[in-house]
Amino acid sequence: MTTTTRDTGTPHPSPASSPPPPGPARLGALDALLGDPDDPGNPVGRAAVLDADERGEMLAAGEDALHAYGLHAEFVPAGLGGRLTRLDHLVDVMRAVYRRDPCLGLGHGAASFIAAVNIWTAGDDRQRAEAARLLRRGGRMAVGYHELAHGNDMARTEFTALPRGDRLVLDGRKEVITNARRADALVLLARTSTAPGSRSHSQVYVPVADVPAGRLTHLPRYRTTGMRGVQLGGLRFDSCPLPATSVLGGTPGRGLETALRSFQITRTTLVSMSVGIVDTALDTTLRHVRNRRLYGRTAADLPHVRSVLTGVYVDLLTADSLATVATRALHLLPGETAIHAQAVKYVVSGILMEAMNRLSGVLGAHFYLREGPSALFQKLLRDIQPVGFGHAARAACQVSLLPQLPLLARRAWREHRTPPAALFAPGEELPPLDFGALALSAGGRESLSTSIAAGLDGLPDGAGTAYGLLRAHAERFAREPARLAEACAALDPGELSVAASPYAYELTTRYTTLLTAAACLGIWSWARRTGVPELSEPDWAAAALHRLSTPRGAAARALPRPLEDALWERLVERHRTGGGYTLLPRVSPHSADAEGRNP
Amino acid sequence: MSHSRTVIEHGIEHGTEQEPTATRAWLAARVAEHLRMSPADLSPDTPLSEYGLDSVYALSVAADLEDRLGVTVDPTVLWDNPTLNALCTAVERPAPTAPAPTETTSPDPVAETAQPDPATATTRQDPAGPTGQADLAGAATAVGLARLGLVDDADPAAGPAPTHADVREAVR
Repeated sequence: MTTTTRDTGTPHPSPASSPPPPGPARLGALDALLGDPDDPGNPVGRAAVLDADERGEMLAAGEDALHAYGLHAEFVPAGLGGRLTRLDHLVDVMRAVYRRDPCLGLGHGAASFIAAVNIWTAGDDRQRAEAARLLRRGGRMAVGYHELAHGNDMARTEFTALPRGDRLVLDGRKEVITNARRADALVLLARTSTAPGSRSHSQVYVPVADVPAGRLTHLPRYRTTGMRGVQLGGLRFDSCPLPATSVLGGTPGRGLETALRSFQITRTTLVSMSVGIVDTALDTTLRHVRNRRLYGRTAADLPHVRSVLTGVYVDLLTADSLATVATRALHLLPGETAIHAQAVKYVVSGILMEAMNRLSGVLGAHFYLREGPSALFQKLLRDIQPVGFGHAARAACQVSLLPQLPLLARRAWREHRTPPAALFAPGEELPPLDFGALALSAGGRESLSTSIAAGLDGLPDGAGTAYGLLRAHAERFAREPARLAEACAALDPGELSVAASPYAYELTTRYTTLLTAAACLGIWSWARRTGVPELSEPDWAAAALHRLSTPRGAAARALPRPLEDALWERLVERHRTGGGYTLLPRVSPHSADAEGRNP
Repeated sequence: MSHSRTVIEHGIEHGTEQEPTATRAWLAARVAEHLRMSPADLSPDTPLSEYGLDSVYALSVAADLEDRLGVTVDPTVLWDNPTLNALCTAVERPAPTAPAPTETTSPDPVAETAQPDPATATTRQDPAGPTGQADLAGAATAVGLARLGLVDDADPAAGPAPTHADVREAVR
């Protein structure tokens, strides 16, 4: 089946089917609906967000605002009447939601998106049209892969949708499912054959209204540490008959294939959306240290505080570089993203959680208080946690990368392919997304890791600490594929599974670090060649590579003083303008407030 | 597990009697090393997933085969040809010029499971790619359709229909 966003789907005239305005205009509309976070009277402001969290509820006014914006239309391909044309634009929109309230991001948005991507990837025309209609109306979807007994081991799914006559009969439980009770439709991974192997699973699409009475029981809600507004539930089906046509795409046996394709999109973009959480946390911390007076000066004047905050800023730019490149790769290099998705999920989630921990050290007691001007931080610190295990655990991503290592040694690190320049161009044009083009496995072919060596000769040069550091680190990383190849070619095949030793896991860490360095260097080189303001400055890229060169297990490398000073100035400037702390500054309607608050 | 066990035994009954090929010996050694088993303990007609070979690793076996044999195979070749014998037959057979014939010729899904799917040995030159029409004709699909009652010659093995309880027992 060919499933592209270009040629599929019946158009369904509706307000959402008019051509989508460009990203920034949409972002402006969203920001306007969410209003000023600092306004205590704003029903979607910070105070209201905290209040809903204390009650363990979704923020109703926030859901209303997102409904008015038509957030779910963002998840529907333009060919099906929605606004989805570019995943980077989707990430921008969702980061704005996560910045305000991660519970809204996951509980009102991302959960439906994960379900929907399965349908765009594998559904037939009827299923896609139906799902598109549902989402454009603002309906919700839940996605049921998880079973408590099997964790990330999808193939062992116990939930069945077995044939009986001309029906499918659903039996079993799905547990810890976002919006299980609130969804209008479900996408469930089920076993459609009892045969062993990888062709016995399918996704079934279940409009909740079609479930016969008495066949579906909702399990009690799971209480959680973070994302407390998000309703995690469970489903139990008992001999529930459904039409055989409920199988996604009509052909049973493609469940794992569909999962491996869909997850490339959702693992990459969801973890990238979560960057918005740390963006707000850094903003909250900066506001605190610039107002807090200690020892006769502001906390922001303490060298250690500056150092930690600058480090977090650099790490956010680093994480955003990999996330940005991997998101663009979904459009540009769909044969390679089976690798990128695992790398992003592993690397970016690690950076985000570590950043939150370091920021909490700066806030001291104020990260612990559920009151006062920094009260949002304790919520964000709890809300970030699912990034490390939700959708896929970090260790599971490493395991998925293991079989690629010897193949990379034989292929990518010998072939030295060069990625297209557009891969490294944040915000620039992208070719259409083709869900069907995503390869199940990269087969050891990937061009990002060898792009450093390819770009070394043409690496922009200049005088000063940053350029010197950049070149030294770039040269070291350029040699890394050869060093990794030696280690990975020698890996015992017994190491390429969950039974791997810590040594083999460590090789995946080295590899993903290399990919991250390549993303940073690629973006900076592109920005430098094209003269993008800020991004073309060498400081951030030099700092990023410097920190990525930290020996494993050691504290992150301190930055040379001139670099740290330059980056601190830029960080303060971003704080002043409300431009956020990711690669490209965002246009903020509240920047005037930010300026007023922080003279 | 009763149902899947039947499948395996049946598969062996129908299994080929051919001499182990060099490719099969190489594959057996490779898979056995991955599973930390002796190659001698791998039955050539037992689905490798039964020994614990996981779906993601199975995809990389396709790339191993490509490098070893100098051919291009779909990453899912081992999903669709889940035993050593089936896999070797699939990758050593020249790409077919006509659509795969297994869809309706064999009424026995058990035998089909253990047989190679020529369609999946086709190369990525197929413009429809791994999700194209080629593997719609595949044996695994035919089995699935039959089990789901979506084609006329539905599961004639006629044992008791598999149940949710069978699955629960099997996956534990």
